[in-house]
Amino acid sequence: MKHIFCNTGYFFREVRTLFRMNWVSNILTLISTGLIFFLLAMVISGWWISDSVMESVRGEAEMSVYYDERLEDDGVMQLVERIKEIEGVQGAHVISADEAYDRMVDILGKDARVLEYFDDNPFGAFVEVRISLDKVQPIMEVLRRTEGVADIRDNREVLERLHQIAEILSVLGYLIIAAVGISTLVILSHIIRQGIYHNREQIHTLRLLGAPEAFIAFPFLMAGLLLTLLGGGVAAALAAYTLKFIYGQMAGPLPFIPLPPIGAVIQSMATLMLPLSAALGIAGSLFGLMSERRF
Amino acid sequence: MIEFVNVGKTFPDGQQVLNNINLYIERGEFVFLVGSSGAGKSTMIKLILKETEPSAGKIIIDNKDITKYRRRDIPYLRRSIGVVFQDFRLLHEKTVYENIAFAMEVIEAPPKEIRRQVPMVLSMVGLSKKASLYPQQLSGGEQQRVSLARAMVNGPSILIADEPTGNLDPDMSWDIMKILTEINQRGTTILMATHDSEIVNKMKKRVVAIENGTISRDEKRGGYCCET
Ligand SMILES: Nc1ncnc2c1ncn2[C@@H]1O[C@H](COP(=O)(O)OP(=O)(O)OP(=O)(O)O)[C@@H](O)[C@H]1O
Ligand SMILES: [Mg+2]
Repeated sequence: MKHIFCNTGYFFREVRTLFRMNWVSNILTLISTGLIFFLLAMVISGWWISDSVMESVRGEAEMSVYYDERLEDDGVMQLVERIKEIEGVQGAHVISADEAYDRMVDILGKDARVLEYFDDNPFGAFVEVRISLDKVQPIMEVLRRTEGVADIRDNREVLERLHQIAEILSVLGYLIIAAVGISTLVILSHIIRQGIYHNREQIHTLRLLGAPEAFIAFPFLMAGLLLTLLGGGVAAALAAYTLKFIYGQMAGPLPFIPLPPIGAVIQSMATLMLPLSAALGIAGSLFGLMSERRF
Repeated sequence: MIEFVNVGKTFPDGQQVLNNINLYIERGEFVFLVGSSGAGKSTMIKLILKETEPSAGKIIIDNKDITKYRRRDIPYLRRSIGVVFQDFRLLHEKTVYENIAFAMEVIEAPPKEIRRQVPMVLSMVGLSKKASLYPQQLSGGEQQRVSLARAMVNGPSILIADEPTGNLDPDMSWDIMKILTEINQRGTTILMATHDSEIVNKMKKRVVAIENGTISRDEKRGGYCCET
């Protein structure tokens, strides 16, 4: 092996020949690995985004405390003060009926016209209480016993639902990663085997001339690596575009979802995709080489 | 140099091709291997190159029992032996020059050495002017000369040729034989399997004949057939 690096020229020529001889199937391989890797990149980015959204939503556990309508302003202020003193409460303030209406208009966006069908403001005033998620139960109990509290609503259910969705997403993610890994290996080892088959005469001659197995295998390994790296690159670029598009679409109607910064997502996605595709490329090529030893 | 000791070869399908072959070839000898089609000439050559394993006996090359070699030793064995085939086995997408340089790249020779050595063997086989052509652009005889140059470029001490003139007309065949004689005179041991009676008869070299799996004749300055 000591002079193997003197012969990089030879290996590059061999790789070029491999591509030239079989360019249609090489292009098809490139397209399919590119698309598969694109899927992978999207799933992984989706993972990250939903993780980060979950993280920030988790900090936003809150309760809406509706109070007795007969309570005077003073009484309301006192109630707010009392709520603030409960352990686990991070903050509390009054949302007036008008504010509640305006918020709903924001959330509904274009669909806010439905609100015009109401004669009166259908929303009531309430106290918005920010809490830590793990203290929901004790806070509830204290609030129920507090005078002047008519009704309590919390978004725990929504949070739990979100959590479930994130969990399903992650299982789905693992499945897709496994599927992508396996199909890359299969596709790649298939094309490598095809290359070996096409070159079996030459490989036999090489062996008779005393070429070591590593020397024979190296161009195939390089070709496989190059194919997946290209596929990974194409996928990363495509995924970056798609993410930008999705972010653009979400920014309008869903402004309240706390998405992580897109630049960071794209950067980590690309830095993951390239080494990952290279690793899969090497593994797939080795797989193909091993299964075609007899040539 | 090359020694067969009680070598037998039976293929998995039960066909016994070689039976108790004992043969000793000295350094610098020129030996013709003759015998009817299917006698086992190519099988003997494949045994020397370790393309196939003997079912009995041992084969000694350069004082080493190659039947004991492990898989990873095989490339080193083959590098010490030059090989020429009936069908040339040149690489079609490489030029004449590249075909020969390639045999050196295979053994990881430094590029400087390659640039020095290739033109030398090319001139030895008289193809200096065709270095940049592709095999399809050459006549059969020229292709065989390229494959001879490839076999010799690493300076092997043994040259094995399996019917090197089998696909060539008489003139071209003699070109090849002239080069082989020259190579032999420089000290390379040559073992050549052939059906070409004219060549064998005129060359007056050692002849080993295989028949029914055994050596039926081994003559110092023999002919293709029985008459000496
Ligand atoms: N891999 C194999 N499996 C089974 N039988 C084989 C195998 N290789 C060769 N044989 C048999 O061994 C016998 C000898 O073959 P070999 O190629 O050595 O003959 P040969 O003397 O070179 O003949 P020719 O002059 O036609 O080239 C043949 O009968 C052939 O069928
Ligand atoms: Mg034969």
